Amino acid sequence: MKTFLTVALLAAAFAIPGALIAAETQRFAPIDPKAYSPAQQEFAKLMTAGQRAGTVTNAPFKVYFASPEFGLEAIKMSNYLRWGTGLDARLSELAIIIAARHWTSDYIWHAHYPLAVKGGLDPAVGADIAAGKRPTKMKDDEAIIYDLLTEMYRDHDISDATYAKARAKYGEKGITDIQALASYYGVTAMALITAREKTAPGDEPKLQRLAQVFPK
Amino acid sequence: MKKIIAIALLAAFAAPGLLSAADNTRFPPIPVDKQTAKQKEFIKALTDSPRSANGGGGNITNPPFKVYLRSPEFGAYAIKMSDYLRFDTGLENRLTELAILIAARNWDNDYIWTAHFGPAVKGGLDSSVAADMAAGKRPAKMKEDEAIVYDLLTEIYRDRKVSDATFAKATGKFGEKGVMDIIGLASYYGNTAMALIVSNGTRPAGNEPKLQKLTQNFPK
Repeated sequence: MKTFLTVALLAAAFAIPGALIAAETQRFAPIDPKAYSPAQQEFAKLMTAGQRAGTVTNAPFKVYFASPEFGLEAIKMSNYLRWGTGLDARLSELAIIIAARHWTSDYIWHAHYPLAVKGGLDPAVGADIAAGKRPTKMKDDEAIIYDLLTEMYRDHDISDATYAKARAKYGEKGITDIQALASYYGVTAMALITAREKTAPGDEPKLQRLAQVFPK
Repeated sequence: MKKIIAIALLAAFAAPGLLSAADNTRFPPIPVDKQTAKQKEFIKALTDSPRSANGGGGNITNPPFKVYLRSPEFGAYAIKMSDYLRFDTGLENRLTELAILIAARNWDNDYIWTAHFGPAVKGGLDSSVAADMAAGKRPAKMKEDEAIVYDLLTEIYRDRKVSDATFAKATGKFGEKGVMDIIGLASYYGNTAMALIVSNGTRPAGNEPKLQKLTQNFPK
């Protein structure tokens, strides 16, 4: 049986390499736990701690895992940015889905759209963002985050009006935390892109493919 | 004297556009007696980091550090991450600095571009590589390992997709660890760019080629 399988796999692999690569080649394959370096062991342990309860075999963590020294700092930073800033989950998750929209990352979008809604974000806000429209049903504090991050991504410039509103609402610390949270999801997106990670879509509104993801 | 300052400040309020254009109203310095324990800790980590020995950065009054200072817990992780990515991955300076320049190009960020053009050339990058990127052209004179870093990052930025050929070359040359480090480095400079944008961070231009404003930063 084993021999048969091997023969079949070899035959399949050599006969249709293109098809095999497209369908199956795994980037950042799992590492045998017995082969973990001390830094990888530490990283794997950190992944299971606290609210995260993640695993190093899932993306994007399997990518971080290839460079555990980087990964350790990334996870600590992410733990702080997601759960330690004092920002409502509704607002943290809004910042994350705006980052997902910027990167057109279906994976992050799929993972965080439900968390945003659970946190209290009106689903219409996510639906508008997915369609490339400025959301019509944002609360004041949501619109401030939306403007801050979309001006950053689209214009590479934050207007004085937006800065003043953001500062009055969130303070300099809050602004720093919001930009850092969005930017942390940049490394997540880049790791997911590199690992070619796919996710089964759920019932969230789908990110439309657009030339301009944030309208003027 | 006090009166003159007061008048100058009033003038600034009268012309807020001018003042913000000149940049210094966002994230002003925090006096030592107003700093929290965590902020002091962050400043110490920043000044102790290898970047200071390198002669570059490490000054808390400079952006992006004055931004990080506002959220020192985040800042401490950011500095440790940056120290690892810049000085400890085992990647040559030439390649580390190339990745940083590509990130600067992606963000059209003159500050990062100006700060890192010198180190990239000092690290051995042909200055025409940067000049081509500044003009929005695929660099003509890249070494093989430089072209791999360039393709990896530009495909991510432009296509949101890394081709099999590029992925195979990148892991063949740098391993999975090296690939993660290169992505981590570029994306860390995304954070730097965002902090610079939010704080209106500027620095005087030098003799580096200037980033052209383009609709497509990385040609197909």
